[in-house]
Amino acid sequence: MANYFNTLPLREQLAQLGKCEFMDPAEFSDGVSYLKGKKLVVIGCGSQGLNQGLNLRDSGLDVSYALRESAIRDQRQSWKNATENGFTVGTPEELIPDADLVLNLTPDKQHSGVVAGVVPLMKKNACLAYSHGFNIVEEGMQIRPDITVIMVAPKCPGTEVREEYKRGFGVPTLIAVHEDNDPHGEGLAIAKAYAAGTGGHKAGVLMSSFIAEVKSDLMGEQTILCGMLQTGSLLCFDKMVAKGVDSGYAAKLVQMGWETVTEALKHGGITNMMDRLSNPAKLEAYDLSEELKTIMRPLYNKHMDDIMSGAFSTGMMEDWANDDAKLLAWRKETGETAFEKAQNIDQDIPEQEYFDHGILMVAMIKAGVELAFETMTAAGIKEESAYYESLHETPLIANTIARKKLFEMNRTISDTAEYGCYLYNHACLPLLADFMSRIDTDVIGHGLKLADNGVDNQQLIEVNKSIRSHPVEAIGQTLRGYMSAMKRIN
Amino acid sequence: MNSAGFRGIAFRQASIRFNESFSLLDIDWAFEPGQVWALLGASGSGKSALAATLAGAGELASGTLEGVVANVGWVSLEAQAALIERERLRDDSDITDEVSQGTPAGEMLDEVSKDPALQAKLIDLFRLETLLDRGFRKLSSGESRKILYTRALTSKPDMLIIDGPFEGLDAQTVPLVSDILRQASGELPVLLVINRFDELPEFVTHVALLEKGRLKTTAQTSDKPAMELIAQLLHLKNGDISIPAAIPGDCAPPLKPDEPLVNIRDASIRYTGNLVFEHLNWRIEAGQHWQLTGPNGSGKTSLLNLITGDHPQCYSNDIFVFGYQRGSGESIWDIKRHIGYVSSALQWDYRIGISCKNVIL
Repeated sequence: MANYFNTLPLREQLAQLGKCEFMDPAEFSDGVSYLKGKKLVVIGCGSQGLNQGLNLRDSGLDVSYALRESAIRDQRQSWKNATENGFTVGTPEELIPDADLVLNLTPDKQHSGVVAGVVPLMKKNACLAYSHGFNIVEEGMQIRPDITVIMVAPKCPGTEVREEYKRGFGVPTLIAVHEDNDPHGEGLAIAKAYAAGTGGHKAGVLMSSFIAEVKSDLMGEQTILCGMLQTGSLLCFDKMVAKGVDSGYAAKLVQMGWETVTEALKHGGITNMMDRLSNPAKLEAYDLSEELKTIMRPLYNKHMDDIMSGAFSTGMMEDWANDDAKLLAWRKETGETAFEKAQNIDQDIPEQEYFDHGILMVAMIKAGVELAFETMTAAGIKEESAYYESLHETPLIANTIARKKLFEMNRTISDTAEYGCYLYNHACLPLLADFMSRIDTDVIGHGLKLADNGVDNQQLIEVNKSIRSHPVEAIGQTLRGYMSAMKRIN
Repeated sequence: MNSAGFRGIAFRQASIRFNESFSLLDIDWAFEPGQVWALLGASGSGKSALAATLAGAGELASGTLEGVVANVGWVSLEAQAALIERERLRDDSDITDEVSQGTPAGEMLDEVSKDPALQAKLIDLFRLETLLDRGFRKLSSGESRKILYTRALTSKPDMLIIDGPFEGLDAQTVPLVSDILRQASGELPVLLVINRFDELPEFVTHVALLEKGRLKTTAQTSDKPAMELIAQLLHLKNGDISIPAAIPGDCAPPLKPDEPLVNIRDASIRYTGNLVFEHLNWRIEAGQHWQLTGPNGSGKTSLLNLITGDHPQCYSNDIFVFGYQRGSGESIWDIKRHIGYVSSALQWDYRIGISCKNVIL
């Protein structure tokens, strides 16, 4: 299979990359009616699979689950999830031939196998839905030409997809139609009805393309989301310990700190995160982030270039073919880092202290989010996509680190994200060595400890202006505004 | 359990702040060793808040509070909500993409128990044996109350605070719990929060009546005239509720008069290896009022949720509600617009701070 993106002429590549628009809520006035009476069969009964299915059924659609025969025979967890929730369960051979819409909600890495097994069973003119386009775009999977291929991707975890729906709301959702597989011109209608069935239209739907979704998703997860947090964790922890900070305190400050500072990011973007710092700390964080951006920009560009050229996917798929030799070795290394092995102190760290003592971490988040966003938009990806794949998802990964540290975070994200994360980490650690040699505990571990919190007015005005006028802040404010119903949560 | 260390608790001119809109004001109250107290008052009077103060809630804004014990066994809606919230935080299903069953009830007991013999006895008494492997969040409201009781009693507390001692418990469990509390009250300080005057257990020695965040009066239960006065005061406070008229033009569409509101045929609910009920038939006509009774865990809430559509197995049963055969393409909102529903689960599932009106409408 050839990389699909690379088979397209340049103008088509650019057009696809630049596709991402916010849809008018009026476009969803028909709700789920396009799918009423049709048979929906879900493959994969994990958190996304189960919760999307529950929503679609509560919206009046006919949903059942296709599970492997062994999962049914051994009554595995996926079987229990589906049957205890009152769904019809059967093997793909039993259910797929009657399905009008097949929802592939299995992990990325299984897509090739799942799709190869399922498509031959699908009836003529049916529709196949993905929640992630790697298989189509990077692996170049070709789907039978009579089949419509769409993507519907809620931009939140499965339990949130369900909880929001139960309150009558939804989560922001990205939809796309694979233009090579839209033989009846009905892809968009199906994707819209599917999104409405999960409640996504209540929180805003972005119309994108498979290509824009894949390229921006890969870029985000390798750099700011997983890579920057992994590299930042190791550097900040090691620096603190080297400077005599208690290792239990350092470990907790880092592990819980990402979650705390990005919670501020979630609510009010980089502006709000920076506003949580004292004025002198904000100026410090700003300077550090500017320096970090200068040092790391070539690395972000390289990641974007390798994603665009397909070099990243090719390298990773070689490792897949080699029994994940590199991936597993790197995962093991992560498990053996000092940060991973450190025991957190028991006592609580006050919420504000994570900011005051974690100035460098705030700077790393700011630099990483802005660089990822800038690099993506410079490559032709629309700001909306770039926002979701950088700033919006950072708190989700931070939350995973807060629960699981790095080893487990890596094990549980997709293998694609994990492989990219290690690539970034290996390049970024040496890149920041010189920068880190100049860092002390005033910006990571102890805080500034100033007698006087005064700053120069002009300088503060300039810095505030620079933070607030970054394009990721403008689009962020707009997109967070659309999620008006969700805004009231917390 | 022992009361040897208890020297009494004293509130002097204490004001305790809970949030922007609620504080306890000017509380003067002494809980002496050997006494058993019950707090009474209308909804919103502050009786649960005063009890929660002794379990560490609120912030002392002025006055003094002395003698609070460290290790409190607390049974209340708040304690239950806190455990459910903890379960939610522990749920990694979004990270692993594997749907988790949550912490088994048995583990919930083991993690605090310091008295294995008592634990075994209570498991037997409350008939919890078959529930121990089930996730805490999957238990019914009565079942999870029993788990809370077992946790509180086996943790060797220095004090017991029970908010609504019989709430959610089935008829056969009420006398058991009453006995347990009577016995405990001879060994350690016990504070009850009572919602209905006629639920006041006879072993209570003192009552306090709260009103609008203030301690209105106290009495010894042996003082008959004082108790009658409190009963009267309490009755007055509860008597002035009226239901507002419906908002015009905001009603659910009318139903066909000849159809039943609900018709459930040969229904069953089962989880892997566990049958809740089967062969159940139930028909509700317009104008009828029903009350569901049965032991804890018999499926009362599950049955109601088949009607409201909150139980996922409503789709695998033959259920007709409000003009719709379930699973025929209706949406959940078509059903819900016909139902007003209040439950404790609503409270902890609805985790966002918005006004009551939004929730109801």
